[in-house]
Amino acid sequence: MFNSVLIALKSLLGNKVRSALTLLGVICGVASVVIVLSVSEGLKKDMEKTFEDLGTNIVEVFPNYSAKARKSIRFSMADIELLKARCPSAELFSPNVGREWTATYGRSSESANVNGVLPDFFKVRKTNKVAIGQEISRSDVDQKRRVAVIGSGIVEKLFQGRSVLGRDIRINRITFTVIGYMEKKEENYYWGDNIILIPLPVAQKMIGSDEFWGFDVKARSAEAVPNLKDEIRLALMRDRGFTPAEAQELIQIYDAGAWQKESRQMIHTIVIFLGVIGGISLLIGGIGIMNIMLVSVMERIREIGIRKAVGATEFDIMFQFIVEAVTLCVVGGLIGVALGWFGNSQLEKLPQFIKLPMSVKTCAIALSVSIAVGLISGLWPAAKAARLNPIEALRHE
Amino acid sequence: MINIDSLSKTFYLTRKLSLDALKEVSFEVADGEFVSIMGPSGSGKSTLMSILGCLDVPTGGSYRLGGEEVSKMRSRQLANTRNRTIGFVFQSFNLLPMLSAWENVALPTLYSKKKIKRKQKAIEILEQVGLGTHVRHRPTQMSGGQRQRVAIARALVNDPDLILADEPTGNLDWDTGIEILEIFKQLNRQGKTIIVVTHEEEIGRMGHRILRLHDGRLVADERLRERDV
Repeated sequence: MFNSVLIALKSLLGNKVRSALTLLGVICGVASVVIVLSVSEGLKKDMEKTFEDLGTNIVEVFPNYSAKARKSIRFSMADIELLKARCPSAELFSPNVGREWTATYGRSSESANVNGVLPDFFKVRKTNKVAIGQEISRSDVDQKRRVAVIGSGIVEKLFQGRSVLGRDIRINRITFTVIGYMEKKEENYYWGDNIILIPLPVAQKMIGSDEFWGFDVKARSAEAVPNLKDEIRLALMRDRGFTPAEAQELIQIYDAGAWQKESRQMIHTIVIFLGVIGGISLLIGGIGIMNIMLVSVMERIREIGIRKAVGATEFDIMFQFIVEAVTLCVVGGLIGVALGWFGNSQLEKLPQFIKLPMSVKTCAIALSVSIAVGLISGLWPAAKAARLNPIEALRHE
Repeated sequence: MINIDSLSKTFYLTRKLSLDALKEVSFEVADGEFVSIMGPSGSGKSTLMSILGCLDVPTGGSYRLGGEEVSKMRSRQLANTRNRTIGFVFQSFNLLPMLSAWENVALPTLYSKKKIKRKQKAIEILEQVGLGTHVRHRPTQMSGGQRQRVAIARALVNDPDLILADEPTGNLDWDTGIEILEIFKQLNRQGKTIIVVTHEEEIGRMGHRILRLHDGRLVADERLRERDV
């Protein structure tokens, strides 16, 4: 066994250029398999994170993206009260108004996504957890207190390690007291870390309107989501006198679960597509190996004759050629995994690109596929070599 | 050592055309004999050599080597017999160019079940044939005579009872050829059975016995001298 590997290595090293060219095919194939697997893994994880933030039981209601909808559709607390009465599938409502404002503390300032919310916000958007301090309470809302819960991004930028709770920050030149701050989230969350939450009525006053653009509704269960959507649509339609077509045109009732399903399907398609590309490049690498092994058999007919004359069995010869093919694939596979890893690290540097996790599983899959390719593509040439008649092989010039 | 009885070999060239390369050949070779097989080209000596060397099987008759019937062996057994019992020396040396002298010599041990120190054994035998200084040389860095010595060392490495040489001096000048033959004579004195195929009368007359083939038949069996004891 050890001898066979030695024989194979010697013969591969004896034909450096030929071996290197074959390796190139395997390396590209394995590298692309590694990248494909990492990209699909990364896409899945990225998606899951976004969904986790949105929550699967949540329906978002907001004006559609058309100019007409943006102008004519506004919501108020009256709408929320109406929906509370008309939607038995709803558990919680969380209206919010948001605007980009500059927050300052001392000399530091940072642009923040400021959102006016009600206490239920923390029950609906579960990934926005208060790490230290308090959430915005009912009395904060009722008393219109100028208090703020800030995201970890703001903590870092404004306070730089100093204590946070009880400090006064200024948002759009109005002073707020920080009552809590939130956990740092992993990257790619829908709601980022540069976020400040303040009581809804305070935000409405700053904007100068009692209305809000949109709200989230939490369904009683994931199964209740389709009913909830119908109930909301029907209630808003009746209240505003819309035809079904108008309602469809103006109001977006958006369900993360359905989107999740669609996105999963899309990612699945992308993964299959990428997999096919990776598979094709491995196939081409495999054909390359088969070609080289066939050429190698033809070139070494005399060598095979000599080996048989001194006592090599058909199995010995076959084994030697298979070991050569597999050795090519193992070496190519290892370099390919390294190249794929390097490719991943370069891709990750692209702006807006997702994280590409490199797992042991990915490497193992790529390597074993590569070895399988070596076995399969080495088999035929090896059998051909093993079956050669020793006398004819010895006479071969 | 060797019992050949009514051995024949027919090659079927096409469905209708066949060629009888050996016709009813019978002879025996005793342990420790030095036999030359002679004949013009096409007389069947190469075919006989292939069969004696277990590279091919006869189409008729019987070939027993050391008491074992070779003509009924399967490919795996033939390979093992070639490895254990027979050492080959060819006209064109048939060394592997990418291997050094000692690696060429050690080649048969790769396929042997015996556990030996391969390199040590190979170097030992290279010293025996006078190539102790060329252990790491490649075949291309050696003269014809040196290459044939490496080939002889390779034939000896598994310590076979029978050495088969097919025109071993054919690619060498006269003096070198005689030196190579001297090695065979020395091996013969050490107890190896030696069969040499040649078409040079002087080379053929160096053994104990000449078998002459003509047109696939054994036409003469000349005993030249008694075996050295």
